[in-house]
Amino acid sequence: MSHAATAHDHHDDHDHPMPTGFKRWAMSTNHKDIGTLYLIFSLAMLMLGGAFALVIRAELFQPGLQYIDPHFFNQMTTVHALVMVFGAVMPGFVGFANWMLPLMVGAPDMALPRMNNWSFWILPFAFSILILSFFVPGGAPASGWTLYAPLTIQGGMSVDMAIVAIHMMGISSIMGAINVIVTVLNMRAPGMTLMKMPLFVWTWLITAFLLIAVMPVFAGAVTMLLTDRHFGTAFFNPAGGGDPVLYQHIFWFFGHPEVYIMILPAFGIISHIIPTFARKPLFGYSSMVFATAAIAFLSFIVWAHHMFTVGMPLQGELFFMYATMLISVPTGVKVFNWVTTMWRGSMSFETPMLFSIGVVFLFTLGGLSGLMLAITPADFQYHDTYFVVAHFHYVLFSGAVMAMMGGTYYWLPKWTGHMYNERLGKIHFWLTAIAFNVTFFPQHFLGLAGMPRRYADYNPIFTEFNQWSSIGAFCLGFSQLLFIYIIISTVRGGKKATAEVWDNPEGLEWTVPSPAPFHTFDTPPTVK
Amino acid sequence: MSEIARDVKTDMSGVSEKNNIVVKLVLIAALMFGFGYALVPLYEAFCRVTGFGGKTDIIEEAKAQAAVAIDRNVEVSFTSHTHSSLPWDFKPLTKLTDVRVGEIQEATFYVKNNSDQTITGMATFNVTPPRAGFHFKKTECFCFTKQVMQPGEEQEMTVRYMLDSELPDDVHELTLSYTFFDNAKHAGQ
Amino acid sequence: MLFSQQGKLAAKLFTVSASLVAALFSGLAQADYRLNFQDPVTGVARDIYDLHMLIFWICVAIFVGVFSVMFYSIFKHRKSKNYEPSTFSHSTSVEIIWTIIPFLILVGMAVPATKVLIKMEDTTKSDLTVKITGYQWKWGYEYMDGSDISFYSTLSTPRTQIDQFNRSTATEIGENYLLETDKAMIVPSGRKVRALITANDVIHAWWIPAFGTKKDAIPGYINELWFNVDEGAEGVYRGNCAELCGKDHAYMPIVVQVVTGVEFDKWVAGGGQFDAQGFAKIDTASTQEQFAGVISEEASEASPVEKSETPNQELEMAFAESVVEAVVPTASAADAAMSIEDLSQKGESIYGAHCAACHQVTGAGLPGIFPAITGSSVATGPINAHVKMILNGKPGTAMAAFRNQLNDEEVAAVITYQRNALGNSVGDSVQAADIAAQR
Repeated sequence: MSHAATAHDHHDDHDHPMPTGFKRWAMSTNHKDIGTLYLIFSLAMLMLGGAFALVIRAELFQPGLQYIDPHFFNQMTTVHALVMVFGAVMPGFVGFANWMLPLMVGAPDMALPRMNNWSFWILPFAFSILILSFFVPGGAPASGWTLYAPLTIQGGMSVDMAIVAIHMMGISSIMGAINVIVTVLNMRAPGMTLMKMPLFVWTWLITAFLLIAVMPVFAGAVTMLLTDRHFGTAFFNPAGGGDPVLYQHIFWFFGHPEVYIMILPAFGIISHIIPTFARKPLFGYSSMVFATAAIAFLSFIVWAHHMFTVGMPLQGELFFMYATMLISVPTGVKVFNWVTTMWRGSMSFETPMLFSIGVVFLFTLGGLSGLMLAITPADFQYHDTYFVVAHFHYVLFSGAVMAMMGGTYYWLPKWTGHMYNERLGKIHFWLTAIAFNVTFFPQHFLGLAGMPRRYADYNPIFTEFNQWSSIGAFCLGFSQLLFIYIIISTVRGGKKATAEVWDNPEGLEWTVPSPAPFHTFDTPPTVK
Repeated sequence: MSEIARDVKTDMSGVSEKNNIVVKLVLIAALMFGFGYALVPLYEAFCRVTGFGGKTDIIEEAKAQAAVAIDRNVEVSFTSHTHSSLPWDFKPLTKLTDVRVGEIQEATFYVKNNSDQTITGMATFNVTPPRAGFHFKKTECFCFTKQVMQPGEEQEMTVRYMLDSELPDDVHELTLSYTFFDNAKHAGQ
Repeated sequence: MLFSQQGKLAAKLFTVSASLVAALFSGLAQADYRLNFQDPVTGVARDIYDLHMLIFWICVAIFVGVFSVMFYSIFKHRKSKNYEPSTFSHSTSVEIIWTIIPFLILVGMAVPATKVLIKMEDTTKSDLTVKITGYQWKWGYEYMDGSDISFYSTLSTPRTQIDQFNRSTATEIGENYLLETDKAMIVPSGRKVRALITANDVIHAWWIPAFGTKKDAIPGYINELWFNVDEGAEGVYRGNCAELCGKDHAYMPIVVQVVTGVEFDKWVAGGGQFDAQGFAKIDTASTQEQFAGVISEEASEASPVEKSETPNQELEMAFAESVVEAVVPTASAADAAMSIEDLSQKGESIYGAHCAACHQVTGAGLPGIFPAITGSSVATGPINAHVKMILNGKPGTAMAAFRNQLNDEEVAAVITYQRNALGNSVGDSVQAADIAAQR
C-alpha cells in the first residue's frame, strides 16, 4: 500500500495536468471520460434511430405509398431497431455503468481501463459499417432486426456488413461486461459486502453475466448465417437440409435475455431515484436483488414465447407459456417494492422523480400487455401485430430509455457540477410522456384490430390510429431536442451543485464533490 | 492516463486475482459461442427424441418386419413441393392411404428434371401433427441422400415406412410432406 | 406552488384522458375504425376472444389496484404537504403475500388458457384438407381430397391505388384496399377444415383474424391448423401475411370465402371456377332460390360478368378489370396466332401480377437484389433462352420456375410484353403453341 499512500499525498489535478483534445478523448482510460463518450454516443444513436422511426411514421401517416417504397421501408424498420437496441440502449447503460459503478463501489476506476477504451472505440466503427450498408447495392439489411433465415440468406451484401457490425458490437459489449464484473467483484471499498451494494451495481452485475452468456450465442448464430450465405453450410437453409426454425430458437435464446439486458439496469437506476425523492429508504432491498436474479434466470427458459406460431407440440407451448407467466411474479415484486417505497414517504417531484414514476407506471402497462402476450392461444392473435410493437415500446422506451433520461437528470449535477433547469426538465418530461403515449397507445388498438407489424402500407380502416401515432412520434422526436438543449446548457453553466445535490441521498457517489473530480477514491472509502 | 489510479487498483486487488476472473469470463464467453454451435446437434437430437418439429424416426428393416400389426387404421396423406427455382416435377403417386398401424408400407413419388442440366436436389421433410413424427418410422427413403437427376430424367422414388403402435390415440390423420430444393450451393454438405 | 399546480394539471389531464377513452368506446359502434379483435366466426376464435377479454380485465384490475395505491400516495405523501416520512424498509410477511397472490392469479389465468390451447390442438378427423403455400408474394392453394383444384391468389388492388407518390396519377383507395385478391380460398361452413401450411422461399404466416388462426409457413416444412366456421357465418373473411417475408410483405393478403356445404360441393363439382371478383363461381341457375339469402353480396354482384368456360383451370387472371378483355380469346387462343400488340396487352397484367414485385413495374429491377428486365441479356437476347428462363427459373436464385404457375398463352404473353415494352423493343414475339412445344 505504500504506493497508494504516496500517491494520495500529492494527488492533485495541478500536479498531473489533464490531457486535452484528441489525447484525452481518443486515448482515454478514465472511467468518467469513457462514460461520457458512451453517453454522447448513445444520445447520438437515439437521435439517428429516432430519425429512421420518423421516416417510418411519415410513410404510415396515410394508406398508400407516399414517400418511400416498401423495400426502403423494411430497411428503415430493421436499422431503426438495430441502432436503438445496440447503439442507443445498450451503450447508454454501459455509459452509466462507467460513470457510476466506480463511484458507487468506491473504486478509483474500472478494473480494466485500457480494455474500457477499446470497448468504446469499437462502437463508432461498428455503426459506421452498419450505416454504410445503406450505400451498397440493394441497400441496408431489410429483414428485421431478428435477421430471420432464410430471408437473410436472400439479402444483399448489406447483410454481411450487418453481421460484421454485430460481431463488433458483441465484442464491445462482452468486453464491457467483463470490465463490470471484475470491477464489482474486485474493487469494492472495504466493508461493502455484496448485500450492501447499491442496486444499480447489483442489476449491472447480473446484466453483465447475462451479456457474457448470450452475446456469444448471438455471435454464433450470425456466424452460421454468414457461412450459410457464402460457404455452402446449411444450418438454417432448407435448400441444404437446414432448419429455419433452428435459427429462431438460437436467436431468441439470445434475444430474450437481451430484453432483460436492456431493462435490468433501468430497474437499478429508478431504485436509486425513488428513495431519494421519497426521502425514505428503498423498500425490500434483498427481495429486489433476488427478484433481479430470478428474472435473469427465468429469461433463459422462456425464449420460445417469441415463436409460438412456428408450430410447436402442445407440451412445448404449455411449458413456455407457464414459464413466461412466472416472470411476472418477480417483476411484480419490484413494482410493489417501488410503490411501497413511495408509500408514506415525503415525496417531491423533481424531473428525475417524474421520469421514475413515469417508468413505473408505463413499464407496468407494458408488463401487463406482456402478460397478455404470454397467454399462448391469445398470442396467436397478437403475434406479429402492432400490439407487440406497442408492448415492446412500452417496456423499452418508457422502461429503458425514460429510466436513462431520469438517470441523466439525477446524476447530471454530479457529472457537470451544475444544476439543470428544473422547469425545462419538467417540460421535457411531460412532452415526452404525453407524446410517447399518443404514439404508442393507439398501436394496441391497431394490433388488436388486425394490423400486422412491419407493414409499409395498410387498409384505410387503420388510418385514424396510425395518424395519431405518427403525430405523436413527431412530437416525441422533436421533444428530445429540448433534452439535448438542457444537457448542453447544464454542461456550460448553471447554478452550482453541492456535493449532495439532492436532499440527503444515499450512496458513495454523493460523498465526492460536484463535478466529480477526474480522479476519485484514490484512497478507498470505508463502508460501515 | 492516470498512473496513480492504476497503481492504487493494482495494490488493492492484486493483479493475479483480477486476471483470474478475466480469464474465466473470457472462457465462459468462448464456451457460450461454442454452445451456440452445440445447439445445432442438440436441437436435432431433441427433435429426434421428442418428435418436436415433426422429425421422423429411422428404423432397421428387420426390426420393422418384426413389428406386430395392430387393429387400428390411420389415414396417411403425402404432399410434395418443389422449390420454385428448381425445374423439377415432383408429385406423390400415392396421395392418400389407409394405413394399418405396425405394418410396413410403401409410397411412391414421381420426379422429373425438366431442364437441360444435371441438377442435384435435396428433400426436406416433416410429419404433421408433430407428435406423430416420432412414431413414423422409415426404413428407406429417397430423402436420406441427395438425388442427382440428369437432363430430362424421370424417376419414381419410394419411401418405406411404418407407424409404430405407440402412435398417440387421438391422431387420426397425418401428413408427410417433402420439399425438393436445389442443392447446388451446398455441394460440400 | 409549482408542485400543487402540477397536481392540478395531472388531475385535469386524467379527467380529459378518461373522457377521451369513454368517448372512444361509446363511438365504437358507428366509427370506421376498430378497437378490438374482429368478430369471431369459429368456436376456437370465440374461445380466444373470451380468454383475451378475461385476461384483459384481470390486467386492468391489477393495474387500477396498484396505481390507485401509488397515486393516492403521490397525492397524500408529499413534501409540499409537509408529510413526515416513515423509515420502514422491509416486511417479510408483506413480501410473501405479494409473491403468493400474483402467483395464484397466474394459476387462475393459466387454467382457462390451457383449456383453450388443448382445444386448438384437437386432431380429430377433418372434412377437408387444403394445402396452402406461401410465395414471395402470393399464396398458393391446393385442395387435397381428390378434387385437384389448385390456384394462386395474388393481390388485386390496382397499382394506381398503391402508388400515391404522384397524386395526379393515383386513384382513390378502395374499401378493401390491400385486402382483396384475384381468387379467394373457398371453404364450406360447418365442416372442419385442415390447412397444411408451407412456403416456397422464405417464412410467411397465414392469418385470418376472424378464424383465430395464425401459423407460420416455413420452407421445407409443413405446419397444420384447423378451423370450423359456424354455419350461418357464410361470407368473406380477410387476413394478411403476418411474418416479414421481404419487400412486398404487406401486399400478399388472404381472402377466404365461406360458402355453405352444398354450395361448396357444387363449386368443387364445377371444377372450382371463379368469377371476375375472385369469388366462387357456382352454377346459380339451378340453385338460385336455394341460396338467394346466403350468397355474399360480392358474389351476386359479380354474376353479370360471366367467364367463358375454359378447360384450363390454371388460367390466371391478374387484375379484375383486365378480365373482360382478356377472357374473350381464351377458348380458341391456342390455335390462332396473336399479334405483338394483343400479346403485350395481355402480358402487361400478367407482368404486374407475377413479375413486377421483383423486377418492378418499370422493369428497372432493384439493383443488387433483382436484375432489371430493361436491356437485360435475357429479354433482348435469343427468345428460346427467354422462354426457358420463364419456364424453369434460374436455380440458386429467387427467379422462380413459372411452368406450373402460368399456362402457355400467359407465358407467351408475358415474354412478348417483356421484349417489346419496359424500354425494350426487340420486335419479336412468341405464340402459345411455341411454349407448349418447349415445355
